[in-house]
Amino acid sequence: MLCRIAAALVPLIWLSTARALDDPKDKAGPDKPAKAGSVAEQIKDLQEEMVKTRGDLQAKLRDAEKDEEKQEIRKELNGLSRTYAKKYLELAEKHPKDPAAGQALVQVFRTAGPTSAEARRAADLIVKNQIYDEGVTGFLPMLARMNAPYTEKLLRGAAEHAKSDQDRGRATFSLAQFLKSKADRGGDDAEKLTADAEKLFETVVEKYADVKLNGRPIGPQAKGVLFEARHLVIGKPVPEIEAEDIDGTKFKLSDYRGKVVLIDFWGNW
Amino acid sequence: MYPHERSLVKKHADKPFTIIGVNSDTDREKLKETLKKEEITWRSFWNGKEGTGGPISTEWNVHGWPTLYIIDADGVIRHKHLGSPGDEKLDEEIDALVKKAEGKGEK
Repeated sequence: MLCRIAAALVPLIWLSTARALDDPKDKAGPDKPAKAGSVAEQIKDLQEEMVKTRGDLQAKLRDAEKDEEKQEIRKELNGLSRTYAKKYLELAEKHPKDPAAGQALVQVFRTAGPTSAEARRAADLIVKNQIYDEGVTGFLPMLARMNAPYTEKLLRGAAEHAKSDQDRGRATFSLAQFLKSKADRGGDDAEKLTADAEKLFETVVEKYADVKLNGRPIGPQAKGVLFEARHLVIGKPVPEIEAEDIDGTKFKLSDYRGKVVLIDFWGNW
Repeated sequence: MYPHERSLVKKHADKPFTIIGVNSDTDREKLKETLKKEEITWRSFWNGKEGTGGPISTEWNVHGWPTLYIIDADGVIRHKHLGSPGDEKLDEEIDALVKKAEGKGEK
């Protein structure tokens, strides 16, 4: 209950509330004079406060005797992440130009989940203010797999406005993958999506080939996607493979022309 | 996969059919032991030290193992499977293409 009231008030006041919760006897309020912390500090405080509040509620739940009381506490526990997502969002909305705004917004996605109304508002804020710092861009590949309603515009924004080549490259690659998998699911616009995706994969090959994602350069990966789409298609002649066999002897796939060939990409693991 | 592949090789021993593997194990020496143990008589390209991140699987955009392609005797891609489609389906597809290749040879 305390939390819910606090959410409507300015950060300073709910920070005091949190301190009051620390020590139930200290009902008089904080002993230190109120001092506005930086956004980064406020985020840290919120994180700590949430952990503490959760712990307190869990302890309360263990001690609760009446079912009614237990139910009430459980409800509060379940709503806790959402409550804090709102707080992070408020913080970012109040200070969108602060260097820590991105950090607060990432917390919104983390606490409320990517499909929540808060996450949608966070995404809007990122796009509007072009908040593509490391925290936000680091979170994008994960969001790209989510297929949230705002995924595409976030990735598009980052592909264009992120500060480093690395972040723009990763966003371009993630956007290309996102559009391609959307196209592969079918639909009226599949053809256009495929064309868009291929163009972006080409951009990756041309401009961001050496950028790494999950430890691997994205250029060769993008090239692979384009190669598969253009050549590894049923009804088309199979591309040549020329490499060593397991004993180290070079050979070619075309050495076996005239035979039906089952190509098996395999591994012994 | 190996037992069925062994049976495919046996079944089509005198026919225009072969399996070509693209192997993504990182340790070539260990792999040679596997070949012996599992009686893998068909030839494989080696995807290199980087294993699943090696040049052939990267070029072909392979992200799942096994990935299978079936090529007809003219070198045209006829079937593509991410993961095994099941022994029966594989047999069906290969049998039909082998029969067609044999027919051509007799002409």
